[in-house]
Amino acid sequence: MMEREVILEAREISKVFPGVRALDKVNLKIYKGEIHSIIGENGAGKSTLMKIFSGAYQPDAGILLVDGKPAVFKRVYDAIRNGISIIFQEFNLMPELTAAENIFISDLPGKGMLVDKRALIKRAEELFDSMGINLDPHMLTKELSVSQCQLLEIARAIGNQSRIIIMDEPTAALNNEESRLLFDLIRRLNRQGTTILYISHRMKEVFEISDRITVLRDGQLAVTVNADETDQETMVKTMVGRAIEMGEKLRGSSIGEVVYSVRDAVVPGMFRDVSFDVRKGEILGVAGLMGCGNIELMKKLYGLILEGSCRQKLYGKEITVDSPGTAMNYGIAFVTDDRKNSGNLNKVSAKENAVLSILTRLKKRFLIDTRKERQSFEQYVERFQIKCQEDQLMVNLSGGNQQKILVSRALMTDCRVLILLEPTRGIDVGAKSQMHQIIHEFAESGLAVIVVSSDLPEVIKLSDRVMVMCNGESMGFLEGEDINEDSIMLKAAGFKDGSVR
Amino acid sequence: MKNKINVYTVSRFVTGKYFIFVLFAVVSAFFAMLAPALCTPDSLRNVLVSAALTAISGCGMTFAITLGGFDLSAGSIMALSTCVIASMIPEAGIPLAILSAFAVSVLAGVINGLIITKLRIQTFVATLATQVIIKGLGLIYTGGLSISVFGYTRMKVFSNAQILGIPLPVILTAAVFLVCQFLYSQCKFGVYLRASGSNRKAAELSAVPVEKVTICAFVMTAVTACMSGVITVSQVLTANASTGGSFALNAITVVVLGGTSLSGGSGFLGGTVIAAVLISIIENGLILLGYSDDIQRLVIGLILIASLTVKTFMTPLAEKEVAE
Repeated sequence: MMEREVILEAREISKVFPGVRALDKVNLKIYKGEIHSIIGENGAGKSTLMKIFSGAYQPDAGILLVDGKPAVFKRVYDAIRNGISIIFQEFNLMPELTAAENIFISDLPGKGMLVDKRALIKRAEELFDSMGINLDPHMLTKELSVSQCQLLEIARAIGNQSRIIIMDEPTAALNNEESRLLFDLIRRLNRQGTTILYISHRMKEVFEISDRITVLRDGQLAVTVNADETDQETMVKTMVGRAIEMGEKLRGSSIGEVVYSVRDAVVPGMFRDVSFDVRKGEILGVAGLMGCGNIELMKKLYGLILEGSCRQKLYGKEITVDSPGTAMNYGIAFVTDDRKNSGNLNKVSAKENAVLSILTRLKKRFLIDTRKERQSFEQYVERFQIKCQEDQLMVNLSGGNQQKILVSRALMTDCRVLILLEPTRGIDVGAKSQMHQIIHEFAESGLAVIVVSSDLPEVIKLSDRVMVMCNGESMGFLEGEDINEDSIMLKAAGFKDGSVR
Repeated sequence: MKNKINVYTVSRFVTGKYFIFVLFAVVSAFFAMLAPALCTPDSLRNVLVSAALTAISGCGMTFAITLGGFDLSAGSIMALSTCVIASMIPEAGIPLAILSAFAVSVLAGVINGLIITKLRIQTFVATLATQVIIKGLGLIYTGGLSISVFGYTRMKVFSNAQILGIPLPVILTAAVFLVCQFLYSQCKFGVYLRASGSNRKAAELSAVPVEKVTICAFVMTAVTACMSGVITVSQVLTANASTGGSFALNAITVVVLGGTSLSGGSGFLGGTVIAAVLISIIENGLILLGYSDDIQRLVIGLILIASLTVKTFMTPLAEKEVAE
């Protein structure tokens, strides 16, 4: 094989956090012009390694070499000046600035202390053109969608003359169409000579895009291979160190009477005329492209959106939900898709996070019955195999464990209807399959479950029935053998029973 | 679809940043009808002059709030600068006295900025402390006494002089506004300021000189407070270190009413100045209608709550979703 030029190298890199050896003597060479994926379970050390590459962390031991020369990055900007940019999952954008200002904030055009606004806009337009993307440089960043923010981050990296762009789970919040556009862009940049370091949980994507793949496990480098010399199954096994059954379909065995029905749900500008039933023991998947209104629909049902109207029935009885509190009283539980901002109480312990919704039940006179509290918590910790101390702060848990805590919080309310939004977003393969098992088990025990997910394989694996939405309308339901990627995607793209709408 | 966009844009225009213009139009029309005496040239001049103090310090305060902070020490800085001016006029003369006051204010602003950036204390707490410290220094400096400079009528220039019939305080306000607006919209400082206020961490990662910008912003609030101090001395020819109690809060009121976002990143200097004039119209209008000072405060507080309420409840749905 041809000897290729190494653009970035990690040599014996180690990093220790209190109690955890996050990275242990990692050696990794990144070739110039390749697309290199780093995969591994949460906590495997991939984020830490990327943060070291990008100057956000400094290694405790070992060195980095850029173009074969040792480099020390004291801060992120040092890495940027060396041509290395990182795009974090939670973007580092300034929402109140325009798109153009965000891109060139480190290098504003203009003489002395002045800003040349015309030049700024022009440079941004040229950059967008060269990337083949369609963005208005005048737009305030807070008005951009998630995928547009992603493009903006990439544009900023290019604007900073980056030769290496590190992307951390870039598709986590994108739908299929947006992911495809992102991949086109990545390939385009790659053809223009940019080296890409790609971190993802989604095996399919990794294989779709990578030249080489590196697997990290428990802070050590497990293997680096050419993508065309291996397969998904092998990589997943390498990641977890054990074989995991992927994609096996879970089916409800005892689906009973209708528990919860929704009729004529409408919120102007979001969705209209949506009706569905969920049965006892059934998992209803609600799929659709981003912006199709499925997330908003669930928020409406849970009383988070007050505009619009909808009729809801629980066991045949008409109910009115006007706040999350009333929803909860009726036995409707809800797990948010936005763990960081509307799920976790970050600086509060795992235990308190879990029991948050049942505090009134744990009350003993005016105080909280701590024994009962601990019992409730431990029951779920055991059942879900949550790895945490009860007094550990939520923010210090891995994504998978945080998600398990949030689902526990919902389940503890003894709900009859469970609404889950993106139940496995940003969590690793192992935790994901556990989460699927948990959802399945609770459905089997008689819960009516609604799962909204942009992860198609997940919808297919979990759902007994799937409702597909497009542009705020229900495109109909799929059942049994009809639940497959093609049929869902057709409906999601607006084909109702084979005809274009 | 097109119609929808129009409704969206219009309602956003009216309830968003530019709500202050609507409020201004409504309230001034109201007072113009009930108290026609308010519309005489003399009366309007009064309105503008009495708006000058808050408008000028409001401009500086807009910088601090755009940064996502507050400067509660503005009142103490204003009071201290009046003391410096009044105490130095007899010996050093007016120009040097004023220059010294500015020097002291710049120093106070720098110290505020250093406490916030180097000691990493939140602006609210930091300036709460320096407010007391600066007031204390002023009281020590003056021995707790009022200083009068009634004999030095030349000092009156800053409040009495008129150019083409426009009182000097109004001209000073316009000048401060223009300079601040220039810094905000035409200079890198403005972009850095919004960047730091919008997402401080991201700004730091992008090599924005966040600390320098913070210090500069607090120097701006201090300097504008000092300018208000100059006009105050000129108006009353007396200085006392214990004055300026509600000065900072008045400035914050007009900034918020003017449409600057308290969460940082988005300032609106034009709104600040208009809001200062609006408050002045309310005050003067109520006086003309025969109401007391106490009613003024009540009305201003209610208007502040009402305007924020309208913004919250009339902001279009789509925008709220984004904000979540």
